[in-house]
Amino acid sequence: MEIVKAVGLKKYYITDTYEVRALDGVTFFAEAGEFVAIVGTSGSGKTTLLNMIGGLDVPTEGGIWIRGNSLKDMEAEERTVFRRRNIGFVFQQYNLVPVLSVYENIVLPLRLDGAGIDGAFFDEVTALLSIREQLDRLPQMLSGGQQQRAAIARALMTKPAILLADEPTGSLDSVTSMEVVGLLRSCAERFHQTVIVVTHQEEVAQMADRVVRIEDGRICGHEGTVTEEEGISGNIPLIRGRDR
Amino acid sequence: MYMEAVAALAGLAAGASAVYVRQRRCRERELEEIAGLIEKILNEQRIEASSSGEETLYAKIENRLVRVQESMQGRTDAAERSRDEIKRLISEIAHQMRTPLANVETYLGLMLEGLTEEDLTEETAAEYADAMKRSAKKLHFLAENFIKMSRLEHHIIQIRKEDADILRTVRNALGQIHSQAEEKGIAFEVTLSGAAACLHDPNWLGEAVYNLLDNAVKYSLPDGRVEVTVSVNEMFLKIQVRDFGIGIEPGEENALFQRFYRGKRVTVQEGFGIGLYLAREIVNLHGGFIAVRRMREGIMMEIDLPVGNLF
Repeated sequence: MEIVKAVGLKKYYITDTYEVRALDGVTFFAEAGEFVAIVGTSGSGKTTLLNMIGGLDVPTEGGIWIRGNSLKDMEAEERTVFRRRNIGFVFQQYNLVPVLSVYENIVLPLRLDGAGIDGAFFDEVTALLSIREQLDRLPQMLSGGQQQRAAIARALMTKPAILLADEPTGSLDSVTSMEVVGLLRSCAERFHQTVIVVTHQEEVAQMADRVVRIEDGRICGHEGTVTEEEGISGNIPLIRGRDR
Repeated sequence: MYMEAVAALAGLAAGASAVYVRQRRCRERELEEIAGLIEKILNEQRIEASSSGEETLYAKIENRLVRVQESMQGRTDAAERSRDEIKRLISEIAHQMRTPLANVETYLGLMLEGLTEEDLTEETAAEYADAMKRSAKKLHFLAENFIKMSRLEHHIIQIRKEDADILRTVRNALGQIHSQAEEKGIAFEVTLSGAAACLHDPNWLGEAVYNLLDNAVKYSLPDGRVEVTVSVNEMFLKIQVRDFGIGIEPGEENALFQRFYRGKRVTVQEGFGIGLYLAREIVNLHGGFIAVRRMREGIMMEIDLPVGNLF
């Protein structure tokens, strides 16, 4: 069952002097509960794609559906509410509010939604991410890894169906990176969420169920669940993902 | 004056009760609709959220119900896919078993014939016996994998965490790989530091660690070395297995953990490509994760287990 469906996405920036094709006809799917990595170099269009999926940006052409709802047909306000209910974001720069404590940062989305704070859930998530000791500190007092874990806790607080992460480990060292991605995966599995991570690092992509490669605004490869013909015969290396 | 006050109050009261009644009817209607949605879910009919954009409680409930259905459907789909894949693997293994079985039968037949006709030399007998031994080994290998796959199929991977000594679990796995390593001349350099309390299932986790060690030995060059380290940081207990063997291609990191995947650089080494898959399932069930890092020579496999009692 597809939770994210993007068909023929195009994003062009055209002026009199130049033409940039950030996305040039991208078709992408994600099933509920999957952990998908979108891998590409800088400028490949991966962040643009993620922003489309998250409803933060609109395509020049093409359609995008989250759980059967077309984002294009929504008014800006409708999209905002929809996003708040269904999607959680994790960014490379953590984006924690510097004047609020870690605790306040984490519960901010709930406060904005006018929702109550589920104490037990809060305890569970902060313990899973090992940031209970830092709750009353300001973000700048935390290490990079701790800040990112706080950002993940914030993204999880509203219990979204989908988690989108844009280079979540870009500002972290290699050891912390693995831990953060591992945690992202564990949490998503535990709470039955779909995760889409954009990254340029293969090491990060390995945690995914499926890897989608993007280059110059186009999808150029899939790796994922092995099909019977290729897998059983033994040494055949390349595996096919979900081609549509 | 008095009459007006009473009239005003009566008006208010009437207005308030009208609002109250109307609200109640609204709520009742919504509850009925929700009951209808739940009924549909139970009857396995697809439901759709009609009011996603609204800020009402009803919209929230509807949204959650759709997600419940998706979650249920997702599990059914996954189970079906899993069953199909297992069926294929089983038929493949069964097919592969036929050859070594046939071999054993053939050589046994030849031996018996030779004995009956009394023209069986010691040399020939030794040859036949050797051929049978090799086939038996292959059968054993296939049977082992068959058992592993059955466990997966029936979801018999039930992790029972105990307060066991993780260092002991790792040592046991090392013990199991010992003879295989010796045969190939592989030396193990082991650093076990900080015995942290780490709730785990010693049998299953031991198997996961063993699979990593098995791969390290299998894909190492003869007379090579393998480094095993156990360490702890504020969040995780790490078990690292570093080999200096054939390694993997860039970009293979993800594929390595997929079922039935064999590395691109694999040539003669035997295997079905399920050791790492199984290891990852086991480690995930422990609430941890497993990662691979390409090194200049060989690879580094790492198991991270949360220290703490949450999972």
